[in-house]
Amino acid sequence: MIEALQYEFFRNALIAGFLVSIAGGIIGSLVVVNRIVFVAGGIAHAAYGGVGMGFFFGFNPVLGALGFSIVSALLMGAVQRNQNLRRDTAIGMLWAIGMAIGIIFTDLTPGYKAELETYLFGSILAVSTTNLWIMFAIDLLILILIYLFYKEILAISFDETFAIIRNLPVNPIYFLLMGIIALAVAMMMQVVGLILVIALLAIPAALSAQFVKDLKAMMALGTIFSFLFIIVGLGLSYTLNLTSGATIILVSAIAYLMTLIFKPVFKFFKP
Amino acid sequence: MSENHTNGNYAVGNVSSEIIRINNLWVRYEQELVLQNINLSVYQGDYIGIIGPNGGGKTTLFKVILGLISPQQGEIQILGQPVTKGRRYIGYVPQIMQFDTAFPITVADVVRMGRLGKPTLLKRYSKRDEQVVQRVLDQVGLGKWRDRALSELSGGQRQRVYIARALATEPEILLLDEPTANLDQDVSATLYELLHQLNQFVTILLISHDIGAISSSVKTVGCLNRTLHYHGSDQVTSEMLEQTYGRTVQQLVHVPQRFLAQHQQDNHHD
Repeated sequence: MIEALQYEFFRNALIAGFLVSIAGGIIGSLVVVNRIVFVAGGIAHAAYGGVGMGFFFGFNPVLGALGFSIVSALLMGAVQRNQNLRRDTAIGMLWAIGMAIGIIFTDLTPGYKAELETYLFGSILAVSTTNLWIMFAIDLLILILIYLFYKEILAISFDETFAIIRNLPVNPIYFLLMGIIALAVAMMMQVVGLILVIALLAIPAALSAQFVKDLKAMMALGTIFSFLFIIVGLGLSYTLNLTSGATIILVSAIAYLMTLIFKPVFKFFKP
Repeated sequence: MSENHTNGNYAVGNVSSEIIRINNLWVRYEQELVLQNINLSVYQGDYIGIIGPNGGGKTTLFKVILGLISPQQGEIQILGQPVTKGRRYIGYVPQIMQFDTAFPITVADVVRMGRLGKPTLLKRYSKRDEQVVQRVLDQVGLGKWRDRALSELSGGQRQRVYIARALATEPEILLLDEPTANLDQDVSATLYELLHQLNQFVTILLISHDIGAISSSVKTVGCLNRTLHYHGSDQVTSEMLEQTYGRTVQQLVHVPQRFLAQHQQDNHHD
């Protein structure tokens, strides 16, 4: 794996992994404590509509995914706020409609479409320098927004009713949160693909939740776990010639299972 | 059945001491009438317990007071303001168990939420906020637990954390929703002791279906089952109970003697 570092694409992959981990650790924690992992999954799949449009109209599919994920996240947020709808049904529909739009647009696009797989299954080794800068900008935006609204986001995540009674602007903050999730999902798609995004959001965060006592620590530790899994997964996929996204997810899953098994043992020896 | 109020300043026109005023309130869900013609005034220093069966409208009454649902008819004022403005004077204490104890959060972080509001948007918590947090935590006896994870605490302690959070809002009145619903008897008793102390400087309104626990602590009792029977008295008459719970009440609950004005015989059933 060391000799691979001389290749620019491999160095880019590590940088991409790092940038993705920051978004994944922070947003993954929020998605897990708010119990909206499947909403995040829906956003990821709906984002494919933007990828298809990017191919058809000839703009960067990452930007297309970004636009589509933000629109679908706001729609799903509206669905989540509406007591009268069957929420899971509505989210499932948005999930599939986005994908269908993406598929139709790629059908309409002439030529070879091997690059599509990049967005379905991810390809951390194919992240371009331009997209690295996009990822960097998204990370920065996420960090600034979370820094500014941390205590309000914490409040509505923990106890929304109390936040409403305190007359906090609950709806704007909720939609802000959905927007930030959309940003994270669109950038993470490039690394593990839209199908596996929810695993990279959920697993490092769920793992870190077992070791921390507050949300900030969960975000930080989630970021570290996420980067660790990406490095190990990337190394394994390079040496064993496997798909990188899937390898990263399986590494994460194995780590999670190990803590489930070993945590009771640790607890036993703790004073 | 006396009409006199425990608050000595019970006089029309003494508006300053009236914290909550509910006039002719009606609430329907779909076709079902949940609250019918509710009238209630809560005065400064009151400690009112509202009892009633599950489904009797207690939670709905709280939701209307907190502005979470709007009534079909009637008016509620909190310190003379409509609920969405006036609710900032309310320290709301929810039931425990509603929240996930798996949520990673420290005790101090929960209590700090009591300091939140529109004015704190985009600002850090101030020094005064931190002082208030420490003061209210000391008040509920959890001063040393501030940096612990909420999940490490017992049910009774968590209920105290939510009381501390409500106190941190510096409220005129505490609203407690079934504060002892998931607690055992000893823990409930100490919690009511705490509420009794707090009542020396804050008005309290609580709802519960647990007549026995509630009635040993509160100053006055109301019975709610779609209609409200409240006379600003600590006497629960057998008529009130019958109207609220139906005739089987004496087989269901043990009511402390001092509350059963017209029943001297032992109601306890084994």
